[in-house]
Amino acid sequence: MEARQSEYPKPSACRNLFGPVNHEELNREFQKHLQEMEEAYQRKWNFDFYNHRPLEGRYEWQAVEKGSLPDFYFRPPRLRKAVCKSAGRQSLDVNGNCQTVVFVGSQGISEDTQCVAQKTDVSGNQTDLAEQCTGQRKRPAADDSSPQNKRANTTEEEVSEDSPSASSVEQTPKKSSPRRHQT
Amino acid sequence: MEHQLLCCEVETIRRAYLDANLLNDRVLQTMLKAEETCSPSVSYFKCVQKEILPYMRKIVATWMLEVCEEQKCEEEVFPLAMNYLDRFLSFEPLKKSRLQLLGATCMFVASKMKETIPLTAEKLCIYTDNSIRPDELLQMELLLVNKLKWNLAAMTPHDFIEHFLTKMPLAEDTKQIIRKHAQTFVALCATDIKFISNPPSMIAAGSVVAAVQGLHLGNTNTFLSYQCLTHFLSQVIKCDPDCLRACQEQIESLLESSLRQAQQHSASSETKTVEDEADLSCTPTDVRDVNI
Repeated sequence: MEARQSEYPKPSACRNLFGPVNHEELNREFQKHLQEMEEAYQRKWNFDFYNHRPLEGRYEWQAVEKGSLPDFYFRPPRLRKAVCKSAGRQSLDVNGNCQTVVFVGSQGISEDTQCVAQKTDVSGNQTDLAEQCTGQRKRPAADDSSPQNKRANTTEEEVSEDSPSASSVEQTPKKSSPRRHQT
Repeated sequence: MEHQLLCCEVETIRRAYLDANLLNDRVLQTMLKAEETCSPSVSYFKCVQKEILPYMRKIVATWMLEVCEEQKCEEEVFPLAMNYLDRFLSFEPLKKSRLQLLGATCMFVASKMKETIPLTAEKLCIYTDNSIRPDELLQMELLLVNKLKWNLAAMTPHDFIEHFLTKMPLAEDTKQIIRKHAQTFVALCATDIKFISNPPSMIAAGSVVAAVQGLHLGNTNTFLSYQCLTHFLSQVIKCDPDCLRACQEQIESLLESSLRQAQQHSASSETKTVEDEADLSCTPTDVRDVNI
C-alpha cells in the first residue's frame, strides 16, 4: 500500500462528472439532515445530546464517577499527541468529522466525563443495543491498528498529509461510546 | 496483456491469512441469509429517484472503478462501494449534481471497511476535480452510514468466491487464475445496472463459471466442465442451475459489449490488441483495463 501513499491522482481520473455542486445549498441540507438525525437519536435514547441531559423515556440514565471509567473514554486520541500536537482541538474541529461529534454526541465529551450517564437496560431494547455495540466495538480496534501501520509504512510528510482523515477516524468512536458501551 | 495486474507477489500490503474457520459451510449459510438484508431495491430509478437515471449510475460507477484501480484498492472496495451507493439511492432521492459526492463517500467508507490504509477524504476530493470538499464528504459519510443503518459489512461477491474456491478440488494456481478472472467479472457486473437484481452469491457463481469457460478449463478437468460446474455451484448457493446459467450468459454478453466499446475507444491506443471476442481467456484483465 505504500504505492497508494505516493501515488498522486492522475489528471485523467480527476473529473467532475455532473457539473458544479452548490455548496451552500448542500450544507444547508446537511444541517437539516443532521438535525433530523439528532432528533431521531434523541427520541431513541431519550437523551438530549445537545444539552447533554437525560430526558424522560424508556431508558434510565445514571451518572458515573469519572474514575470508574476506563481511561480509553477520556484520554485524547493518540494522533493528536503525535501529529497534531500544536494544532490541538481547533484544527480537529476543522476536520468535519468533529462536527459529527458536535451533532450526535454533544460537546466536549472527553472533558465532560463526569456527565457520562449509564443507562439501565430495558430488556426489549436489547437488539438495538447489541447493534450499537457491535458497530462500535469494531471501530476502536481498527483505530488501534491503522495509525500504527500508517506510521510504519509512510514517510514523514505522508503522515501529516494523512493525519486529518486518520485523526478524524480516531475521533469517531469517542462521540458516543461512553454512553452506549455502558450497558 | 498487463502482467502486473496478475502478479500478486510484489505487493507490500500486509494481509492476514485466510482463516479456514471462516470458510466453512456454516459461515456460508449465514452469508447466504445475510446477503438478503443488504440488498438494494431493484426499482429505485423508477420509484425513488427523480433526477438520477441508469446511465448516470454507469458514469459514476466507471469513475469509481477507475479511482479504485488507480489507488490500487483491494478488489472488494469497489463492489462494496456500489452496494452502498445502490442502497442509499434505494431510499433517498438525490440530486444529479450530488451523485459523485455520494460515489466518493461510498468509496471512502468501503475503503475503511476493507483496507489497512484507507483512502483519504482529501484524495477522493481531488478525484472529483475538487468539485466537493473534504468536510462535505465527511458530512455525507455520516448521512450515508445513518441511512444504511450502519449495516456496512455487506456481502460482496468476493466473499463468496473464496468459499467456492475452497470447495473446489483444484490446484492453487488454477484457483488463483480463476479468482483473478472472476473478480474482474464481478467488477464489471457492479458497473452495470442489469445485475442489481442479482444477489452477490449469484454474481459470484456466474463470474466463476464465466471465468472457467473463458479460460477453457473445462476441457481438461471434468470437475470444471460446464454441466458439472453449474450444477455444483447452483447447489452451493441454492439456486436453480438455469438461473445461474442465465446470469453467466448475461455476464458474458456484458463482457462482449464492453469489449466492443473498448475496441472502439482504444482504436488509438497502441497496446490494446483485443482478441477475438469469443476468446475470453485473456480478455478480462483487458476489459477491466480498457473499461476504465
